[in-house]
Amino acid sequence: MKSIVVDNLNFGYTEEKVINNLNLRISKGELVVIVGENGSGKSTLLKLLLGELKSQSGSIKLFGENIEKIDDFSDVGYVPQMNIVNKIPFPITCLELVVLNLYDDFGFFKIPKKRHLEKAREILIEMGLENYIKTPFNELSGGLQQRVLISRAMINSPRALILDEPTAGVDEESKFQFFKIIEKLNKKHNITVILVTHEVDSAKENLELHNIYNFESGGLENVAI
Amino acid sequence: MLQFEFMRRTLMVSFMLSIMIPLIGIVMVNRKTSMVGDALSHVSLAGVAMGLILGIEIMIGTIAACLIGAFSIEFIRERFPQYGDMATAITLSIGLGIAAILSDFAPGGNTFESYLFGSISSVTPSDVIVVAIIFVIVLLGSIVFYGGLLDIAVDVNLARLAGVNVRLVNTVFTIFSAITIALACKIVGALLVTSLIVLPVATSLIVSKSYKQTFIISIILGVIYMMLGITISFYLDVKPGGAIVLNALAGMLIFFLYSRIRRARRKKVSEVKSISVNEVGI
Repeated sequence: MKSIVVDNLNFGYTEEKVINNLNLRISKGELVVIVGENGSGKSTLLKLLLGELKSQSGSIKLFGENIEKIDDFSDVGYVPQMNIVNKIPFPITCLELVVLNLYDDFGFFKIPKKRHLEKAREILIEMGLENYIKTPFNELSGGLQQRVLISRAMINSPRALILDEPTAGVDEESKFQFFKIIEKLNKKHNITVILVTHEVDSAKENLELHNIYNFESGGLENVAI
Repeated sequence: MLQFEFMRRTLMVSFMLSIMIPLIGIVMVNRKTSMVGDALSHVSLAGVAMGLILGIEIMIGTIAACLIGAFSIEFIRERFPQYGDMATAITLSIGLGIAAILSDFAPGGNTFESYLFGSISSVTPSDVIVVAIIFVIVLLGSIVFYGGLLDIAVDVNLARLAGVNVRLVNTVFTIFSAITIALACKIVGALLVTSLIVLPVATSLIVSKSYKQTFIISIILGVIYMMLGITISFYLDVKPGGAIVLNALAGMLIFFLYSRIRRARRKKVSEVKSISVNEVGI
């Protein structure tokens, strides 16, 4: 079964198309990298895949379901660009941040219950963050913050993981650790991974990639690995 | 003080407001929109003047004005997202402009003036009932939407993916903040409501290590600042809004000094530790 199927997708913020007749097929368990210049449309594609933007024509199917009919995105784990979340101006512990992704399960009063906190604690420990469970997120290094965000994305046991420039602004050791985690998630749990990055060489070096796509002229071109 | 009926009413209403305002304030500060509170409190003055002119309950006028102001800010912000806080400035200016003109036609100049800096003698029995009903609604709403409000402050898109109905949560929050600010203007004063929105939260941010801590400390401080301010206002015959703000300022200074001392102590302890480690040759 295909995890993601994109057919003849078109989108533009103005009359000029950013996404132009784009087609993409990603199978379950595939590890895919999408590369491209700044402003090439990578982030726009992610926004369309995550339902933040609506396409002007064409279709996107996630696990066989049309994206416009999807209300529950728990099958998709999303790790945003670091510069979006590392500006959180108030103290929030790693536990508080991770548990929020179980929001749909909180019940009528949207406050995490004991079992939700336990689950969040477990995933943080699994990610090697046992010493940072109650640490404020904005006091962590970039590498650790990124691991917290992967924990948040993984707490719903998603079938696909989408990561937007996850290695930007992160030191070499943290990058290496990050790739190890991604490799493990992909191989051990058979999770489909879409990695949008500038650093294709690092990704090639550290991951067993199935496909690399280059964003050009609004479409994706499969690049030889 | 408690032997006076009007003071019992004022203290009851103040207690409820002192919990409601930081509940709204913590979200506004986290979203960096605390100036929206300032704009709404100024807009409420137009409601005061309108209430006086039409001879209706002033609270209805302030609530209506604040709701219109709050949704105007949202409307302008949605259409011109690139201009940041311009929506707040526009709404504040228009609200204040209308208030300035209407105040010339409003009978009872003292009533209008009492809304600028607050008054402890103006709370009526019907005010107590209205504030109590809204207090229960805002308190329940803040618990129901606790997770959603927090997640939206972290990142709107992450919140949406987690299942938060962003539009609903934002709309409810807009209504809650408009009504709370409208109610607070009577005691705290339109010109000083923002201080009670921001200062308890700002003080708790100095020492808090989690959102839950910030939430609890902000409410406790809100209650202390407000009740102490009302008491000072009664005994020293000063305006309650001013007394509350000066309490909050003192609170902030105390918390700031406390955090500095705590940091300095920690530094000293770690210096002592490193010296002892060196001494044993590790």
